[in-house]
Amino acid sequence: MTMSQPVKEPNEKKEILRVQNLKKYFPIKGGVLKRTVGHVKAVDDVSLHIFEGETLGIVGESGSGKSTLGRMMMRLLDPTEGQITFNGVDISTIRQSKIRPLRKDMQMIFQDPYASLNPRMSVGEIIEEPMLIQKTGSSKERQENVISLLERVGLQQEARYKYPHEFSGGQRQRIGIARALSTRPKVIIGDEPVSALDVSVQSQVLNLMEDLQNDFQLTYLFIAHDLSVVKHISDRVAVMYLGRLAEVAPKDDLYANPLHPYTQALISAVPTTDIDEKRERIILQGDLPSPANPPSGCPFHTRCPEAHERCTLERPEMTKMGEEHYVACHLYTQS
Amino acid sequence: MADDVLLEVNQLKTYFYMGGNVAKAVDGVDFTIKKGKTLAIVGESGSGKSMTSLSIMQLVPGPTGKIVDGAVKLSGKDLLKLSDKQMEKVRGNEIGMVFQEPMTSLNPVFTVGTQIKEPLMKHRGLSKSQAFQKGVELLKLVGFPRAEDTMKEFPHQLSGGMRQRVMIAIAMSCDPKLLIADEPTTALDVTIQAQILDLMKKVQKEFDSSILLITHDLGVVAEMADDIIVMYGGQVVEQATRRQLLKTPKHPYTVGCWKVCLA
Repeated sequence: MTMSQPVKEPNEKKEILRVQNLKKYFPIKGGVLKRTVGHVKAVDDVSLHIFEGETLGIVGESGSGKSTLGRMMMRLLDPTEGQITFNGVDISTIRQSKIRPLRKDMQMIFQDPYASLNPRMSVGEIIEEPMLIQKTGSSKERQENVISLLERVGLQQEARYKYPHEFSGGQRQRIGIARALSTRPKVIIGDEPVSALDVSVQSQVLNLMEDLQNDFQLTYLFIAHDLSVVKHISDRVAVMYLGRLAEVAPKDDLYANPLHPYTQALISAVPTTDIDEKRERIILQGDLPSPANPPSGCPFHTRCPEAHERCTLERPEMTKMGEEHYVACHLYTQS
Repeated sequence: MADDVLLEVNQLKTYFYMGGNVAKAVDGVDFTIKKGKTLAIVGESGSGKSMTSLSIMQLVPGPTGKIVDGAVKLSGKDLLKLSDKQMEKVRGNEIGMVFQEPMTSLNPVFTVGTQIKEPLMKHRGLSKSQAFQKGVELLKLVGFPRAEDTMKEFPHQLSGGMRQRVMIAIAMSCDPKLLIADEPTTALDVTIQAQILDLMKKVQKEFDSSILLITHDLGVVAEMADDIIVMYGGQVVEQATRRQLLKTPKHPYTVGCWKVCLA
């Protein structure tokens, strides 16, 4: 990490991305006429903001809607309802033709380093493609850019003549990162960028992402199911459960003082390597309920160790519990 | 051989012959598992940990892969000297196995019931109805409240965690002395992982079996293992009890690994 990074002033935080009451319902078609018989509420009323230059981690189990949220922010999926504001501009309903210039500022790193690179394109072509689409620079400038990006992510410049199958998972993910950086974006959305990698390679890629954040002044939205990865890289963490936010808090606050019972269970479920530490482990019963038929009231009440009657009836709203610490749980609201 | 040793692996070598090249996936591995204890094999992908377990079961993918040398002694009997027929009786009967991918390790075209009854009828000689009863019991043990209904369901109707529980039920169906669990929780979410680890401990106590746990997750190791071996490049680089290895790792690779994981 470079030491010359600008110190982040807490008062000067500028919102770069904001989502307001965002919803994504996928229709379930059924019957002979393929009528809509129900909806999978993948993302259900989520409001969030991301400050410029920070890393917001989004954690949740599979099926919690975290990837859908990330894809909607990229406008790879159209939201059913709600607003997405990027740099003060509402991008939730703009036309497809207007989205493309926008992608210059927002790029994505995908989970699977094997599926996200075209096997029939050389690495040089892969990294150059976003620049071609965005019509940046001359051919020579683009080539120079490809070389500098490859070197920046820790690959040799000869790599540009090779094809994806010649690289390991970690190297491929570096190529994916170089591609995402090629348009000099402001925001990078990483959808589980390290979960397919080995632990030792994971930390290399995470460190690279941190270095790049300083060099390119990037804002990260980091989606993961792994709390330890998120802990390493995030400034703030949002916990999702069944399409809704359970808790949003600064990293240290969240890990030291988790308020939502789900966050507590998540943190306690991570096996610890400290064998002398005695702790009460919370083991949740059952599975994640189906998002097609979510429980009434608080979505977590079916597995919550602290559930009471109100939880089954009333949906908890986000309540401010401290500096940037929000939680959606009835334990912290007076009825 | 000491009385409390269940499995003894000596100088196990499994090589893959590809073209003119020899890939030494497992290159002279020794370890022992004591009765009722859990041994964890830790290592990155490609370190040979899965091949070690497949070699014990003699499920190394042929014809390129071959066990070239060594001995695998289960309760004093060398498994590598058994015929295929005899080995069939060991698999699923004396050694149960749980794989990483709960999506692919169950057969999608048979019901859970058929798949759980199969080893019971084959190895234990139970009748259909006896096997059904025993299957229901096993499913209840691994935490299916409506076990009778679950018996009639197909794998795709179950979630990942439920499928892994079915796999554990099948693996434990014939009271195996040894349960080999190859990354049993890697494909699962943390809250479900906690459930499965808890269940494995419970099952181990109930059946008094030994577990060979293969994983790259040190947290899981710290939670489950009594003894640990660390593999790298097909060889064992360090072997110690849990406490020794987590508190005072010796080999540079282990030290590096720990640093990464505990960061």
